[in-house]
Amino acid sequence: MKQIAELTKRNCRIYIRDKGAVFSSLLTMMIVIALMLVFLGDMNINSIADGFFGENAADSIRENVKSYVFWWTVAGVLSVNSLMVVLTVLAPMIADTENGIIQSFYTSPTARWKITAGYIAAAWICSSVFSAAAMLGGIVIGAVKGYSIPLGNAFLAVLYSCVNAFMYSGLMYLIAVFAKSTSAYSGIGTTVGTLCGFLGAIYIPAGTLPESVLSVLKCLPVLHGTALIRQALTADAQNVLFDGMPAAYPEKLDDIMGVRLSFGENILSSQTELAILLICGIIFLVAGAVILKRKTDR
Amino acid sequence: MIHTEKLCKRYGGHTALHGLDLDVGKGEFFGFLGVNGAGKSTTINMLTTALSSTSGKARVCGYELDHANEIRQRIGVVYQGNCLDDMLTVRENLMSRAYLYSTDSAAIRKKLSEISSLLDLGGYIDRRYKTLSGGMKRRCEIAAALMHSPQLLFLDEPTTGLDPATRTDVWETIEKLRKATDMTVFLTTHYMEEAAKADRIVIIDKGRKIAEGTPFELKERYARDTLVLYPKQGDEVGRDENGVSDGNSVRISIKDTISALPMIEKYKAFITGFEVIGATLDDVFLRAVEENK
Repeated sequence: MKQIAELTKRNCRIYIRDKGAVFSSLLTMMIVIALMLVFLGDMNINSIADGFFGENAADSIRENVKSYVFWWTVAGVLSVNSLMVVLTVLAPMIADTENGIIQSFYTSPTARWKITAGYIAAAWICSSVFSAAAMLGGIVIGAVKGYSIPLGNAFLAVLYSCVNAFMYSGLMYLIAVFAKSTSAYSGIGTTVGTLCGFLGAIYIPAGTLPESVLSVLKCLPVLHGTALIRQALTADAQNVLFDGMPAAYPEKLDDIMGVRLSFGENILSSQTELAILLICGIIFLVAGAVILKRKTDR
Repeated sequence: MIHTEKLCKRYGGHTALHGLDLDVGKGEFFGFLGVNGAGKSTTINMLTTALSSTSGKARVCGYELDHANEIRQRIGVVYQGNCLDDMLTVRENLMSRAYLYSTDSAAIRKKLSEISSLLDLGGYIDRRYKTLSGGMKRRCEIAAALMHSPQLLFLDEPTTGLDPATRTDVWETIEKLRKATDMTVFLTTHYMEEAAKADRIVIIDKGRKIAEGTPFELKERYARDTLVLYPKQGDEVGRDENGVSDGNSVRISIKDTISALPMIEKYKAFITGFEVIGATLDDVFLRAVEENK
């Protein structure tokens, strides 16, 4: 364990001290925030307010909708943050292979799985810490804007982000195994990062997508990770928004905004979604390890 | 320390190493020479357990190659390229590498202090690796390979691509290290003047061993010294010795430096000067490779 811990520390330091890497990992998060500020936020606010409360909804209701959309956006930011930080922290794994550093690890008595575990653990830890930091940022900004959230829900969202980061660590490790150079990994990373923004319905609510597309997305873990975080973060704002109204309203909003996912008539519980993330993460890790073992001579 | 018998490596249809036999004794400074693609890296990779052999036997530090962990615990490797992390300090780099071999933090800190003083790293041990000069970086690479007190140190073309000043610095470090320890050193290089420092040399070409011996033995076997005579105007010298004239001087191939004395005595009335050029390992290498064609 000490060896894995030291390798993890090394990989975390390499990421944290590379300002360019930290900036690029946070870039997608900034893009999400910028898009929400420029037009997507207003678009979502108006469609919820108009759709559920009519075009002449009171200002107080609009304010509650804004609170809901704010936390919905923060959830998207946490989700995309989990992916992008993992993606960037794993980059040295490819660089180490490309510039021969890995050779010096392989000629040490440390088992290869421990070396790999060091990369994955660093990716997971950095991603989890950055998610916690992003959550803290969300709470501060929310407090300034008057959008509060129970601390328990914030804690739960960070916990879900950690599980989400685990799944992404497995996914990106599997992808990294196929990358032969840092430029190839960078290209793959950009594609995956952009794709996951849509697959996770970060930019556009899942409910606005065609049913066929949504059916495919539900089979991927990405959407489930985002949905879980959204459940934790939007629950309180949603209760305030639909206070005293029939349960069908919040349920419909959950469906539209991709907070609640279902297969047919079966609504997926948060436990099921957590299990999906964990199982997918394990499958990705095992697949990556098997492929890497086959690729290397010994 | 190293013993191989008919060690062979094939990649598909290509044979990179054809049945190599090697013996390297304890405390020996062993030079392993060859042009690019001769099989040096393949050999090092197999001996350092990074690559499996196709056939043949090999023992390193008393262990067969399939006892990889026992071997890895006893060897250190300095690669041609830099393997430490730019973003970490020298101390962090050395500590993180040492933990690959041991989990005893106190012992690692003690070793760091020893290595730091042996290789004079103290002045920059807390500086980030990327801010160091080429010579300092190489010294750190050597330090990293020594952090677990290996019995056998592989130097895989440690000075390739370095400027002359940095190469001198690296060699001073290696010499210092050899004086301070009785570590066995296995050096691969294609700088012949560096190989001349070795106790014993093996030259390989196209995956086959083509020459073996001490630098002196190899010079004796493959290369000859040259006596250069500068004749007075109009005089002819060296004809009996098959001397080659370029108009100003006559070059005569001689077995060794001492063989020059009778010739100088014979022609001293007819020359304005002379010089004896000793055979170099470059000559040995070129001749050995030529003979292997």
